Amino acid sequence: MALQFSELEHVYDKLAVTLDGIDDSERDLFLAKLVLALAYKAGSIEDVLESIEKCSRGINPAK
Amino acid sequence: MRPEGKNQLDSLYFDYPLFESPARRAAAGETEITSVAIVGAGPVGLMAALTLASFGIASVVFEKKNTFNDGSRAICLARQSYHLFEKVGALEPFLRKSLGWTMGRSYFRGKKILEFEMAHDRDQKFMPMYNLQQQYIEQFLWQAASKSALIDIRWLSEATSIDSDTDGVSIQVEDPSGVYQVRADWLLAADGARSSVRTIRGLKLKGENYEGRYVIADVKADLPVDPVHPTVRRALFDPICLPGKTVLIHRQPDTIWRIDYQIDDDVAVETATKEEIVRANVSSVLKEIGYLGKWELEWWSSYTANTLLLDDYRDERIFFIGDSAHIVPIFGVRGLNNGLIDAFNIGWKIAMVVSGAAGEGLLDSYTPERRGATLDVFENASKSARFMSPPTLGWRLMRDAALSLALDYDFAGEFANPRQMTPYHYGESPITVMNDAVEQQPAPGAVVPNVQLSNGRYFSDLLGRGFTGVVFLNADEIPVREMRRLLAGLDRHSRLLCFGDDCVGNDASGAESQRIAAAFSAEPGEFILVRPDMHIAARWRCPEPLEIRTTLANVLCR
Repeated sequence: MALQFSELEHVYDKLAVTLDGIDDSERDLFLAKLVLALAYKAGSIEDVLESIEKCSRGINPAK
Repeated sequence: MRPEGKNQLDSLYFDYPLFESPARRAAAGETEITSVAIVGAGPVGLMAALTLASFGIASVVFEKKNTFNDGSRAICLARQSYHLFEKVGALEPFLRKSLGWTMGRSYFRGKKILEFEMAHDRDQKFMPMYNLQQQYIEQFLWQAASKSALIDIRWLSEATSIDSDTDGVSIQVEDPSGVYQVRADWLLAADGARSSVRTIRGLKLKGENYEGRYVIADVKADLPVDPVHPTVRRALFDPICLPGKTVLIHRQPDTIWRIDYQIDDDVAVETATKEEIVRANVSSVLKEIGYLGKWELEWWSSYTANTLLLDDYRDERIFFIGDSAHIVPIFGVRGLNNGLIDAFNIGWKIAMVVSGAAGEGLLDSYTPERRGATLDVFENASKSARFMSPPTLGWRLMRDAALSLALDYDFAGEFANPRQMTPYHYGESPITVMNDAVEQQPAPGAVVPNVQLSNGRYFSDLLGRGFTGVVFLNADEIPVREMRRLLAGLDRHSRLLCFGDDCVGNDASGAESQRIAAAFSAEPGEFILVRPDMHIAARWRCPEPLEIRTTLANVLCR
């Protein structure tokens, strides 16, 4: 089910290049769209919510 | 570079010897004859001379300087380099002085995010990595070389012209007493990144430059040492002291610490390497890792990540080894380690050609094997360089995302794996035999696995200096005597090893034989041919001696 590391590396490279091709003002929108699209294909709502929770760690809160 | 008021060799911990120009050499106008000439007495040139000497072949080494290279430079030696030091009889001081290590710790914005441990187990004779300043590496190799009657090192001696023809190489050498000629069968160019042999021959390195320039600085300081893992490689990504940059910290012997830090793209190297700026940056890095004590600045330099190499590592009767043939990024520590392997590779091949055990065709395998290894390094190094110093916003975002994720997700930590040096696989070499046993692991081209035996010995200790035939015996009749004669007939350095259940003439006990067979996934009756550099040349299931004889003749181009 989970991707192999070599596949993840491919995703990493593809995303880096894609991000470089996006206007600064549109980057957040692209990433939010991508997450939503991947969430639609994810196994369960619990997985998605857990990932949101975990990814918030180490990120500065709004001032 | 060294602090103001100090000269280039004024070190806090190392006494540089000052060598004199050679007392004995050909008179002006006369021509000296030698089998192998080596230009450059750095670690790669000395390794080549020691390899040749270990096979009984003499060489003359020409070095234009009068001492070792200044500064710590290449400080990480990989396991395979220690096997090679052992093979050339230079190992002991390396083991005594260097600091072995297995662990790396990565930090992101001041927080520890992961630890990685390099593969290591009791079957390995050496640690995966050792830290040692390059001056010591050169000193220890020089000490071994100066004990050999077969190695003539000539300091303050510069090769000023080089002509190669079908029979040999004519070299004009200049030293403080004047000019003389040397005629060699073969020339090894081990004169580094700014190789004058390469320039004289009109050859150019080709390739790319990467983003990210670094200052590398050595400091003497009593930093606290982790009792469990005293030597840890620390990587600080986007640290508080140098936002957006990457810092690497290595412990070296003599309480010397190496601090590599990335510099701003818009700052000139001349500015970044000014003493007061280096001191300020080092101070802020030390503060970030919690050290507020005293420290002394020893030496510093700067570095840019490049992937550059020659189209062909051979130019007629000249072979380029080490940095003269290839420049690689430091991440993954493949520069010097691959240079040492280059030296050993061409060393055993030339030795077998000069002694008559092999035909000159054997030397044609040098470029495909070692240039192949460089291209493999480039593939890994470009990934590492993009991770260590992301070239654009997209690569930076992905890198930071992976580092930030690594706190909670193990998979993301793998992105920060420094892809440390592992030996290259010679599966595509013209002298690797791909027959019906190629599905077996380890496959032909790989380095042999090691196995710990009784009395502190290892399987690697049993290998001959030359080729080694490894046969796994079974109940059926195997023509061991014929195989033994075949290997012994190759040259005086080659031998046969037998492993099996309680057979007469076994080279290990029955239980050890089983473990060796398991490490090779070998069936009874299998025969494995190991090269002098520990790579597998061929493996067969129940071969006829004639088949082995024919293959050996092909491998050695006889």
